[in-house]
Amino acid sequence: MLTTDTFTLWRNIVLGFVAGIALLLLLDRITNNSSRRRLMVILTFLGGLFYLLEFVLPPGTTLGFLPAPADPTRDNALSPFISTIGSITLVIAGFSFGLGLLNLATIHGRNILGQRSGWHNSLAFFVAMILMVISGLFRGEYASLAALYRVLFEGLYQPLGASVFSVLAFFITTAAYRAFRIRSGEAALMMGAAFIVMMAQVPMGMMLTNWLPETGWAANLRIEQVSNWLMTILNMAALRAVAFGIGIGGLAMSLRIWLSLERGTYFGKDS
Amino acid sequence: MAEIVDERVASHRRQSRIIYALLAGLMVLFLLFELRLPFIVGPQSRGLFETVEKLPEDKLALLILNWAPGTYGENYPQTEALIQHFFLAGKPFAIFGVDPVGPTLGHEIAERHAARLGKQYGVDWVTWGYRTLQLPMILGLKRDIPGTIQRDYQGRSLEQFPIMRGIRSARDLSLIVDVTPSATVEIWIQYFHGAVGTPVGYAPTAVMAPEAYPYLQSKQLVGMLAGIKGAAEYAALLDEHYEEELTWKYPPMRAMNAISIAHVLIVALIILGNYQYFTRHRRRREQS
Repeated sequence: MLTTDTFTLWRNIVLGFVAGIALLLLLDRITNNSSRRRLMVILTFLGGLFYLLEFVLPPGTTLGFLPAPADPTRDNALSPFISTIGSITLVIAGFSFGLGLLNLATIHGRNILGQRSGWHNSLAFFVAMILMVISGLFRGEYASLAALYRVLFEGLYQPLGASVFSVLAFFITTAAYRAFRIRSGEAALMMGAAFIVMMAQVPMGMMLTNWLPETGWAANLRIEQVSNWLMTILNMAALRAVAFGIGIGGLAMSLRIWLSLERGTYFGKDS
Repeated sequence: MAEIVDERVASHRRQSRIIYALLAGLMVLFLLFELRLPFIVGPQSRGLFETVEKLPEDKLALLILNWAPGTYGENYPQTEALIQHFFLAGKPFAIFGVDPVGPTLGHEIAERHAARLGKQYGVDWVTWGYRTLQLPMILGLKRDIPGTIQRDYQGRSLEQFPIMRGIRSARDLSLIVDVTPSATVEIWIQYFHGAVGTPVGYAPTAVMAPEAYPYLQSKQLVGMLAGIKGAAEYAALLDEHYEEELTWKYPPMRAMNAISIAHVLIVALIILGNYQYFTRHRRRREQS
């Protein structure tokens, strides 16, 4: 039975959808390429500015036109809007799922209709998707669909997904035999470190130095201790340096994206 | 010339088949028969175990499952070990994920162990389900959990569950553990540990583990389960501390034995490959 709350909710959804489409159509009619780009730059900047200000403004800061925060010891005037904007982005993300689905259906639909090479794989895509969606959505209501869901998810999807990555083990093993050649001193050093770390990960490797005492200076020569030293001293120092570089690079990149200075496939080729 | 190339390709194919058969055969053998080999628990796993033991019971631990069946072999036993520990130690926890499949798999694990250990959904654990990985969601989660998550994985309001009473923000989280094959732990360290001091644990696949050592050294991570080895270490600690029988869908110790022989095989093949290379190299030099 349609309650008032449900009716109001669906009414708002439909109205919002129609208003959104109308707005997009209007923008498409009244703007040209450079106006659209200017609009995107402004919206991107405002979006980033909101989060920057929310982060840097001290707790208790009020902005005249916004209500005061409920907890001034923790929040500023912009903080109450975080959850709302979070919900908006979740809805937008939901649309991106739909867009991805539409894209896949278009590509595979064309393969089937055009009888292109491998069209039967595209047919399998549709069959699998429809079966999974129907069984997943209605498994609570029908026992047969619950059984089908179990077959598809636990019987097919999980083992197939695990198997795809499991074949890497075989490729790594043959690559180790064919490609790992000690042609220089550095390669020998790397191979020695790899040997220690690899064998220290497994009980059979730990057995190599199990005869050494667990305490005293000799304990430092146990393979798991040497491996731990390699990981926590040498490896850690190098990776910390890499992390600093990534952090600074990420900051620079974020600034460029926020200020719409970035060019490329997703950032508009217009100058 | 063409015959030489054909012969080389055929030889490579033969070698590959022998190596694949050897690897598969040895791993199957060691998975079927359990060996009790000496095993030492590392400080990283012990750190996470002791943190979970000391968690307050009026706060919620957050188990973030960002893995899919591709990393089943490592992340499934890690998740199973952590969930069993939360149940045995009586620590309330929530299952959440920014990967669509992880929370579903985690919920199935939790349901199975809850039935065995007499635990109840909504009282001992809750599954928030999947949310997209976006900064507004993360910030919302830090600030207002009920307002951001709102409903559990089946669309039921979180307010109806006793476990969610008093849980408002990240300050009400006792621990975050990220079980993942990717580097998502940096998000929780940055936005939760850095902002409000929530302890963070990490359970990555073995290949991602080295990247976590800077965070372990700086105490931004309380502990780490590195791959299947970490899961096996955690299982050993659970065995040591709890009398209840532990059950495993994929026993980590048995998997460790299989990985042991795989590592030994890889090292042996590297040594063999280099021996053949140097022998051939010396023969060519002698001939020239």
